[in-house]
Amino acid sequence: MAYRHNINSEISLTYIVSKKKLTLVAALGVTIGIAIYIFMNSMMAGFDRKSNESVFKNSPHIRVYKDDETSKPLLREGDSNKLAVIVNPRIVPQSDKIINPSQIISLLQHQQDVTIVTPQVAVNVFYNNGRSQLSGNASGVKIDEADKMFNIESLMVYGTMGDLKSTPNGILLGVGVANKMSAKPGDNISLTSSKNVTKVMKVVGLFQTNNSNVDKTKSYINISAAQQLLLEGPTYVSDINIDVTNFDKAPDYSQKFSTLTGYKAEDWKAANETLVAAGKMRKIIITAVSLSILLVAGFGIYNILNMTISQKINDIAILKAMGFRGKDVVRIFVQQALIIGFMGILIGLLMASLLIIRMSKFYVGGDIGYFPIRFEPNIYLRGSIFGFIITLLAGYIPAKKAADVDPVEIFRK
Amino acid sequence: MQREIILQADKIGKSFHDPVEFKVLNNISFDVYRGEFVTLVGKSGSGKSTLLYILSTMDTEYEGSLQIHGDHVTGKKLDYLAALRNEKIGFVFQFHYLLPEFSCLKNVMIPALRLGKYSRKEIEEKAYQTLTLLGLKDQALKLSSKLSGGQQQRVAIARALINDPLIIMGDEPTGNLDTKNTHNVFDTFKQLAHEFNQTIIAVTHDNDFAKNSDRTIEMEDGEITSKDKKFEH
Repeated sequence: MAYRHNINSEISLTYIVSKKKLTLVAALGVTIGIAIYIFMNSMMAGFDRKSNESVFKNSPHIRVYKDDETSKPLLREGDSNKLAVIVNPRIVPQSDKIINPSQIISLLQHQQDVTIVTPQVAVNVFYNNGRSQLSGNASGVKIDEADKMFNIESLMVYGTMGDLKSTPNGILLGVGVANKMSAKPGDNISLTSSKNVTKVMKVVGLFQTNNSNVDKTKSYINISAAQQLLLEGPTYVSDINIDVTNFDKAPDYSQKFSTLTGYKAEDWKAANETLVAAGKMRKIIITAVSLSILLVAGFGIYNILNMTISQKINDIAILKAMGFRGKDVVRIFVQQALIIGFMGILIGLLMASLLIIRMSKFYVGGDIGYFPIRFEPNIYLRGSIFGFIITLLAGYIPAKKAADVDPVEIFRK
Repeated sequence: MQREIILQADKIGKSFHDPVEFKVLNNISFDVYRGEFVTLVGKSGSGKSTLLYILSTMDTEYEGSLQIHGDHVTGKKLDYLAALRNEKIGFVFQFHYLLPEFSCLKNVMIPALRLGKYSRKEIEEKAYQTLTLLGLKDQALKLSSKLSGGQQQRVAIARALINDPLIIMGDEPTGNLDTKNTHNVFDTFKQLAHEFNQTIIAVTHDNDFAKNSDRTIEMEDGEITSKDKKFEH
């Protein structure tokens, strides 16, 4: 045919305009559904980010270390004629030293997706304060590399991090430790290690992670000082810390690095299982709740279309008699649903943004500070897509029913 | 002169299965020629409306075969039949079935917009002409729900005419109208058949209406009793 007149859209638009109030109510349902969906998911993303941030202030994406070995029977069981020779497995008293660390570090540095590799010497220490002792742990690090990994500079509250480089016996103290020792930059304090070495250190700065457990125990010292505290030589390294480009994929790499180096490689998810599990649970709950709200919005559209269709059953019958095909009728009503849906989605996006702006200015305090929420474009996109799909379904089901109306039945009534 | 056959019914039969097996139509065969004004009469339950809906292609469950304008339509797909109705058949029912949210003009235009043979402007002009022909020019831009019953029925007729259909089918087209409007509609039909050579098939109860048509087919108990009933004057 010569012309394509968009009569289907014309009819659906007229239906919408002649039922402004109902349309508005249905659109409002979608608006609230979309707004809550986006808001809740952005909130969850914010929580996740905050929780990851606090994990990565203190632990790397992957840590390579020498795991304790348990003695194995000299003769393995399995053959019923043989008995295990060692019946009492115990930890083999070995050093936790990583052999030839520089080679392993350069090997890891050349792996794909690895961003930072840095050695660390972890020492359990007592901070001595007169006769009382404060137990804690000191991390012997190369401060520049450690800063790239844990962002120490941003945690400094007093003194300068860089001074640690020029002060071989310098120490950066957690604010909790410093408070208990009443130490401030420039003071000297003494540390005793598990190997009973006591060393006088000079405080060059204080840092605060806002995790009080860390702040009350942790300190950073130069790697050489840590080696001295453990009576080890300059090649001694207890951990190698690795950061990769995408921390979510850390578990994929840990297995690979384990076989590559021959040492245990533990990713942050394995090291923080409770945290990861809690995150998963949060995700399930929020997804379920927000999707249900969207679904309810879908029912709003479904109801209103169903109502329109039963009111317009005569119109449908005459349209079909005049030569409108089943798919034309489907188009008329699906288009109506989509217009309602799009209106709802657009206002919903706006409302979600307002909620997010309002919430991000809300001060929670403590570890968290301001409410951890911000614009997440991919959540906006996902919310719009889900909203669209639900609208489409909520429109299609009644529209299909309308298309199947038998006009003869209506005319013969 | 050989008259052109527009519609040909051949041994059409139909049964209802619910609640009991019941034969509503039995072995119906007849031809309708171009420019003929045919009425279908019979007592209620004689199957005349059922027959009309089969002829209209809206009811597809029947035996026998049906040809419209040389086109064998029995067993064709629903979309094909919809397109055929759009182009070749116009409908007028007892109730007007106008879309209440649209103006009369728009109501008349809808089938033509669906067909898409002419531009919107041409369609609008044509719709105006048709409404003028039926004496409704002044009502064209009013909402169809604001008109009187007789006017609404005439708008429905204008709508049936907009695509220049081969056949206009009516199911009790004057059933809801007073005498004056019945005459109006009747004259319109007669004019369409004789001046514009359009074919009209209408089911009616009204003997006066039937009497003045070109030919009356009478039915009883699902069968044709007369293909050209004569009325006693």
